[in-house]
Amino acid sequence: MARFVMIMDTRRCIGCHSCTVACKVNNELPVDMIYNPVFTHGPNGVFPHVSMTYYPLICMHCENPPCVGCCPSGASQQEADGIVWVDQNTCIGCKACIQACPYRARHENPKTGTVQKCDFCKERVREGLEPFCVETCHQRARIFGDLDDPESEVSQMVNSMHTLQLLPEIGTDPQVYYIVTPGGQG
Amino acid sequence: MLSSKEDLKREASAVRKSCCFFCHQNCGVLAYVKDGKVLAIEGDPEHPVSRGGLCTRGNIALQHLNHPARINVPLKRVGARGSGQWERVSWDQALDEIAARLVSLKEEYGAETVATAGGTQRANDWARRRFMNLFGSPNGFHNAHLCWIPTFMIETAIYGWCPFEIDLANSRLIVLWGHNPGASGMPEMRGIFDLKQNGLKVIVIDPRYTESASKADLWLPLRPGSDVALALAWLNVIIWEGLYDQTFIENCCIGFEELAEHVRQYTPEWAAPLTWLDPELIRKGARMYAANKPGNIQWGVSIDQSGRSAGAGIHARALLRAVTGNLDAPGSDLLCGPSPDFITDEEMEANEWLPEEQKAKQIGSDRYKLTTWPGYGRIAAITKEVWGKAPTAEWMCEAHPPSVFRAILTEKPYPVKALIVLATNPINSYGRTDLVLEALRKVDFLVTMEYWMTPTAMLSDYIFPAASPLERPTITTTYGCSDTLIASERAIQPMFERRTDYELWRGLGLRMGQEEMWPWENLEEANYYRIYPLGYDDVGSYDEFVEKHRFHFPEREYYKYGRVGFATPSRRIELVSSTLRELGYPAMPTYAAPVENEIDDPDLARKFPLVLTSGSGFMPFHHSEHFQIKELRFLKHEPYVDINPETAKDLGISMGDWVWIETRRGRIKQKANLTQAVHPKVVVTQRGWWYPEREAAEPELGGCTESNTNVLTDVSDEACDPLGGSWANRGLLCRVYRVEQSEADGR
Amino acid sequence: MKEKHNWGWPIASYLFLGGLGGGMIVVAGLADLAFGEGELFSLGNLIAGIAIAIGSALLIFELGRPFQFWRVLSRQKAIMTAGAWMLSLTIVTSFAYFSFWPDFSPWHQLIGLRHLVAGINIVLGVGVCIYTGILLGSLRARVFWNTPLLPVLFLVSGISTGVAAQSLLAGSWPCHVAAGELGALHAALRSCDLALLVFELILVFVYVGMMRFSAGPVTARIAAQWLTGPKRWLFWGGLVGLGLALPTILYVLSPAAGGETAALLVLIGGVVLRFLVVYSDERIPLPGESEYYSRLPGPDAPFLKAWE
Repeated sequence: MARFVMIMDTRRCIGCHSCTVACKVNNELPVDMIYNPVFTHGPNGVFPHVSMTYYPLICMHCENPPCVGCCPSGASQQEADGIVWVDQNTCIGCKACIQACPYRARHENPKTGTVQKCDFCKERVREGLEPFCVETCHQRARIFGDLDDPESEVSQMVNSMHTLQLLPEIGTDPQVYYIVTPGGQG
Repeated sequence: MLSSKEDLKREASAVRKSCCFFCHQNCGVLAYVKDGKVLAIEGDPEHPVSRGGLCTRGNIALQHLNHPARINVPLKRVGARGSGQWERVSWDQALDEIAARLVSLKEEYGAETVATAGGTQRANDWARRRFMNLFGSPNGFHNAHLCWIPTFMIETAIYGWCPFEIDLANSRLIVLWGHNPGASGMPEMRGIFDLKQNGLKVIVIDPRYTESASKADLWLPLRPGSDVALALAWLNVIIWEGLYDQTFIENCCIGFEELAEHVRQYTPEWAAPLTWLDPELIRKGARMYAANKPGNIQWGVSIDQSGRSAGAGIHARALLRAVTGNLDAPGSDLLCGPSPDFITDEEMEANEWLPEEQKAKQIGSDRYKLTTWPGYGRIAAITKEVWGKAPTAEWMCEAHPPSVFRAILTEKPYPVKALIVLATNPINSYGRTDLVLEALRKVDFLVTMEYWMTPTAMLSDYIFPAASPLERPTITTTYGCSDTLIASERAIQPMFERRTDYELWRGLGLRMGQEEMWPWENLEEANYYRIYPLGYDDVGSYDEFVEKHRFHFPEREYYKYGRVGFATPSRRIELVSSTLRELGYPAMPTYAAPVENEIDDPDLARKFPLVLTSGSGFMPFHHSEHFQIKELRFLKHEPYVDINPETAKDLGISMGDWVWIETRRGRIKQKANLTQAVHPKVVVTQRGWWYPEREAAEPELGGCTESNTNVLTDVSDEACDPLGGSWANRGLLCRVYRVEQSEADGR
Repeated sequence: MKEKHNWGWPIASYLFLGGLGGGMIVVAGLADLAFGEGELFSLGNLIAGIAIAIGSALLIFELGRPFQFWRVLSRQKAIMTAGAWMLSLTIVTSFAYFSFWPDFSPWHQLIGLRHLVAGINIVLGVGVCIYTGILLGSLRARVFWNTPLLPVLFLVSGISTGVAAQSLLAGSWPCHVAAGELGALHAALRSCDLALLVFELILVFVYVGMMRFSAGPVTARIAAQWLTGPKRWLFWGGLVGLGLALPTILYVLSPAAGGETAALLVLIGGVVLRFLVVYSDERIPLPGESEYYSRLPGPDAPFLKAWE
């Protein structure tokens, strides 16, 4: 069984926002809806002794997704390969999942009344393609793959490098892993 | 919604190998096409440079193609200039009327009365130069003087070509000097990251803690505009600490003793108060560059934009490569020279058709000789002898833009009555906005080819609709100067009545009796003529070349100078440049202070206590472009100026406050970004800003002066670099203060 | 483009109305079963049912797709589904319990059945009061809510407002007890409410103090907003002052005259508490998040509409 995950290599991310735009135009999202923003953390410190890290975000496709458990209609669900998605036909727009998500990965669409989110481009990745945000990244700062496949790049990276998860204390076990080096230096 | 793009791709009847041209990199784009429509685009994974990547701008190709604000038909002004009243006309009518007008102006004032302004590779510039040469005017220009061209010409003067091809794969260190590929060169940055994992060291020289600086091994945050002092101090350290490459210098260079003596004065201690860098930090950088061989100094735009000190800074930086032997060896900066294999831009330009007496009339050539006919003519003659070909005259040999705008206003040295503007918005992208604006309002005849109703287009007499990147074929050859070539085809024929600029120039040419000089009916025909000498038997058209081969990369030849020689008068690298001396410039780089600085003018520094730098690129925009694209504008919808929190506190400025940034020449509004990325005395404005969502007509003109950093720049002759004519975007003195609430409301 | 409050005034109002209704039927049920005084509070059950129904309607109104609200009942595992079933049931049982009291009711005499419904109502009433606290408290992303203290606080507040409301309504139609005979009852109710108010006051300070001093920086920031920041008027003036302290004082000082005023103030306190809580929904910000969103344009940015 596959377990899809993403690695964010912050050593390589330069905050160009290409992933943000590629996702938006290709998934035809409303202009104000952003599935994968890139945050700038810093510069921290005092000039000239500063450091800065860019954090690309996306739905964490958590192992314990709180957004799924709280959904009263069953629209919010997780597939066996880890992908968390929202069935637009059954979502009633109660926004409980938005409240449950610690990563601001869920978005209300006022036009449809439903909640939308990143689904790792599931139609694409199941055809063997990469998510749009990964495909477009010049820097290869986003790496997508199957964690259960020991040969995959993500599996080898997660198992050989120090990675971080965001807000692990909340207990969601996010499946987006960040490679972060102190001071933001590669 | 989820897989509609894959469905569209399946629906397409053809996949065209097109490209993006929203910056210089021309990343590969695959366009999925059906019935003359582009259904979908994606990065071309087989493209040799971009390898499937697309940045923010590459991704919005369809939004650009189909944007409701695009200009789609030729327009002729019917109301007062700038009133926004237009009449739709046919291409033929517009071309007929314009050609007639240009001919009559030529008869009255001479051909040189017609000038043209260009933008960043939104055009096939050889065609423009070809027309201008045949017409007889030497007064074409770009922002060339601010961007690479002075570097190209100084480096070519001293080592016979510009070593812009960097052999990074074999390098141990790269210096990013006033260069931030993290925001401006996505494929380049990827290359750096790939190699960093194998130990490549990165030095970033930049007043601002940029995207690239955040990934560097060493960051030298110098005072804006003080690059020349740093480069001279590096020369001093490398030479006087014995870190130079003696063998290379003996074999390839002349003038070393003289140079060593000359730079003896430029110690790190001398440079420290000028650059605001600790002498030990200066030494550390110089030693690191010299010790980690082979190494590269990648070109960065910032020195080119320094104004008065630009030429000296470029010259000193260039000599660093020579004394360390980082030229044309594996892993260093390579002197590839022009292509012997295909027809270069210069060969398409018909420069031989411009009479000598017309060349002599080129505006600015009396003063800025290196990047105009006096210097270009001399250097091109030598490169033709050695390489067999010359650098592109378009870009490398241009009228001096601020001088042209002044000529429009003063009629000195002679009247300039007509200006043809090609895919650029000089009001926002050229120096000293008030001067440009006044000139555009005054010039007798203004024609624009554009995508958008820019403030410049609004002031025009005629506007032609320009073809998008997906609607035109593009050849990428680093401004016509690389020995490599990447070819891209059009995805579709232009929509509406858009056309390529080639058709504009050819259309005018045909109406002026130049039929024989324009044998190619369209760009594909011209491009096929250019690649034909490559000798591919399996190719019968340009598009076929793109489909089957896409690029031409000759086998890399190191130490080419051993076979070809250096294209200088002495056939050596001239550490003491005879070419520069003969043009009347110092043969060795000599310190020149920033145009405005606290040491030479303390009174001014009291009034304007902060140091301004402007003009660096930032995602997701490019130059003054893309403010209309909602998907991009949403990410950065307002302009921001970087200012140190400590300084802001003293000035009572909080994060996000609208502030005035004021120099002696004017003031603009941007929002305060409080950041430790800059020295407490440095502020960095964003470039290009105008507001296309506002009224386009006079007097609002899209708010083109409100946040436009070129209001602040200095283009006076005293501020310009005597060699290359660069005007001052960097290292100017300014002050910053809050926009009061009452002013903000009236904004 | 700051993250907006995903849940706003309709949810806050619902939380109040649900707690109020739940508290009221608990009071009525207990009075009936333990003291045989159910008749006094009979109208309150009708009002409670209406309150919960209005609250539920607000809940539906807040949905992105209100006409699909029935889907909320379709899943078993979610707290909200359980809540929805409970609310629906409670509305029915509240009205059902009320229907035993009017003289004309065909089952006016079925006392055993009435007692059964009263018992159910006590359970459901407590459930409705607690449920909203569990729902909010289970959202780990919203750190200010994410504590077991929240259901307790909501329960106490719900019962307290229920007592207050019932004391205002006691003896109304279809009750036949003469008004003069209610004095002792009111005294009992006030004592009861007084105890709840004191308990709630302690709870509120424990809650806010805990958030201020022993939880993370975000909860500390929110607590500071309550204590000394922009919400201080609402907290000190609305909740602590008007809603808890003043009725406490009134109950103590002037048991006879101040009763009705005190009860009204308790209701106000219940409203204020729910609004304070619902609008304290911040998450732990991710690195760089706040600055990123603070610079995105709002919906009125001119460029968004220029080329439509």
